[in-house]
Amino acid sequence: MPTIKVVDITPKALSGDPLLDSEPSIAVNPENPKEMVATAFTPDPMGGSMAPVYVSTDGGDTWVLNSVVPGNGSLGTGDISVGYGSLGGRLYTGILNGVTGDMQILRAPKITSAAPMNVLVDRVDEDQPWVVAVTAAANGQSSDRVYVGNNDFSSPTGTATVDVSADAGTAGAPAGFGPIRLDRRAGTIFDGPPIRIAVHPDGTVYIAFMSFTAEDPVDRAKKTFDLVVTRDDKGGVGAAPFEALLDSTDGEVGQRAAADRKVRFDPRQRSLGQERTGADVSVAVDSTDSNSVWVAYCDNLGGTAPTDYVLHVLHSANRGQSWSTGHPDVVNGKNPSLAVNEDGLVGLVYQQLAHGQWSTVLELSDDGFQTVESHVLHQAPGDVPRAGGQLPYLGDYIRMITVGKDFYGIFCGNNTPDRANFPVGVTYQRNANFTTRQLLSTDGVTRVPPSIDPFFFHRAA
Amino acid sequence: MSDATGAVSHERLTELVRQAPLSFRGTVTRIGGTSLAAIPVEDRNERTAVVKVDEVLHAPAAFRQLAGSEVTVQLAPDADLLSVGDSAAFFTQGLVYGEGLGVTEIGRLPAGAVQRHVALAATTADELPFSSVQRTIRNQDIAAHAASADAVVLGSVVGLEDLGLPAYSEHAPHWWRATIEVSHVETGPVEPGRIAVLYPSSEDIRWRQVPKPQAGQLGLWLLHATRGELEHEGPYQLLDGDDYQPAQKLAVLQEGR
Repeated sequence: MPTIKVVDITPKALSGDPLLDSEPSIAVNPENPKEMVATAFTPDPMGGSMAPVYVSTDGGDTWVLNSVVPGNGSLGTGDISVGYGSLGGRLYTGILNGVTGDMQILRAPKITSAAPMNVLVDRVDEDQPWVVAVTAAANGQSSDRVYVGNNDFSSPTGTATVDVSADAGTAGAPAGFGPIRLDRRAGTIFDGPPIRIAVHPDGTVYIAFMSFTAEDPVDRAKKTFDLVVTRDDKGGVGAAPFEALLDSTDGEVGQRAAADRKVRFDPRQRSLGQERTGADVSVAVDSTDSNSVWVAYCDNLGGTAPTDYVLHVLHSANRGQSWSTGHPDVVNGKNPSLAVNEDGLVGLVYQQLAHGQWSTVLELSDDGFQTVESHVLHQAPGDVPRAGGQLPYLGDYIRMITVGKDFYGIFCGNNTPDRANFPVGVTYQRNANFTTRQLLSTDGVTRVPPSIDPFFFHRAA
Repeated sequence: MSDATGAVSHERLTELVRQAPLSFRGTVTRIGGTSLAAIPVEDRNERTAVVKVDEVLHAPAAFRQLAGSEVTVQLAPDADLLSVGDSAAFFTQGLVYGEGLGVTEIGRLPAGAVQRHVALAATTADELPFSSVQRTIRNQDIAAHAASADAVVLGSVVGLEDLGLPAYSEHAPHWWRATIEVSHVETGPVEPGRIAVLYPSSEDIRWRQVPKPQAGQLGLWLLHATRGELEHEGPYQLLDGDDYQPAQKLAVLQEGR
């Protein structure tokens, strides 16, 4: 029988933490799934110059902070994401440096080391780097092939970009990384922040992004976008990368999986509870069949009220050329993350605001979501804690990945220690009293107000 | 340095508190052993001390309730070794945050050298014995920041407007313009009267620390000259979390000169 565990990863030594540690990412070492790295808006607890990552070496049961990321800002590092190569245990990280705001691509030979991560790339005017790493084998040798999706605002139109290195493992900066512009279509005003990547072992790489094509002249937050999927069949490292998929209507690079969608994109506005909306994308490829690919995105179409924010899932069985509905719409859902395990079991995790409560829901299906194994991982009042002046609130994304048959993920939420908030159970490392529903500081006595913590989850086959 | 009686100069203490984010008075309970798994066995030696915290002297908010708990201290390479039962005031920075706390020693004083601060704090509203030292450091930092500003003025906010610039990134600043009625010019080429000051209205994590002027708000504004394409929108900007200070801080700046 599959098992699920949920762990509040805030270490016991940080029991006094009152911060909103939101917007998480996770990576699991495929060679040693007991070793994993998680990230969030967590600053170095004593104001050091390096921002921390969370590290576990026992399968996620316990975690420590390791401050090895350059540029510790007031909330640590901005927009951090992480990924392991398949072999060799090297960790790759994309960040917006917490001090300079620059996008940096980093590498650590071993994340349990206290040595600062190496800076491979540093560029200004970028947003939301998203790391996916694999190790490719050829002629008896292996190399880390690393993809970092990013939004390059130095481009006057299409900003969706991916930096690719065919061999990022050991070379000095920039370790083979170079940017590839993804959005080639005329008429794009700009692309949305999420540039999401799915890599199949046969060399197929899918990238999905939001291409904004129009905005309301009066209310400029009202925008029109296409959800575009690009593909490369040679790992993105050959000639003419990411041009393998042409749109069936206009013949341009990148199939529009959904066209002329309407969304309110105003990063200043708390449009869903205390959270902002307008930029959610996920993509996953079936590891048993690279023709089969899933995407998730959100817009303001399909709900019952004009303000509803609706999560849609699409599926393509022909390498991204045509798309059909893959899952019932989720009204007021966001932060989708899709992943497919080695058996072809599809997982979707998302967060939904309903009846004043944020829920984090994991659904799994092996028949296109006709039948579903569903778990509520977390549910808690959406107005606790107060966001204060911080945006995003829970974060602009969460993340789930697979290693073999297992699903590993991370989300952020209200950390009130209440068993009712965790229907599948939970383990806290920080001091907490589940009877009085109180967080307690390092002395085990002093009360700490509820805040936002990152929660690890693992669905073991 | 401390003298034979253990007293320490104010300058030395201020220097230590500035360098170390956490200090505490503690008693050594073990040498060479720690339960912190993140400190490898090969790194545990005579400079690995487990110390029971008797009293926190200064600390970030999350660590102010450490009294009574044990902390693993990696002693400074050039510091005297300690024995079980020794007491001292430890000045430290973070090393390991896991099932327990591990810290690296930056400095050390005899326990008696901080007794005056401990006794004095008990008679004030200060939360911790070194709170007054931290206030001194804070005022020094504000003075240094003011010295780096292009203008420092006292004034009230009398106007707020959105510049209406296009913004496509979640981290865009969303510049607004505040009009400040300046009543006093402390430094800089500004005349009393109205002045335009740009500020990022976004609450995104990239900008949330920067002050957001409110209608009618009176205070001390530490201004930075606008450069580049925004220069024509207003001569000054707010860019740093310390660019707004309560009006009372003007006296602190003046006393510091």
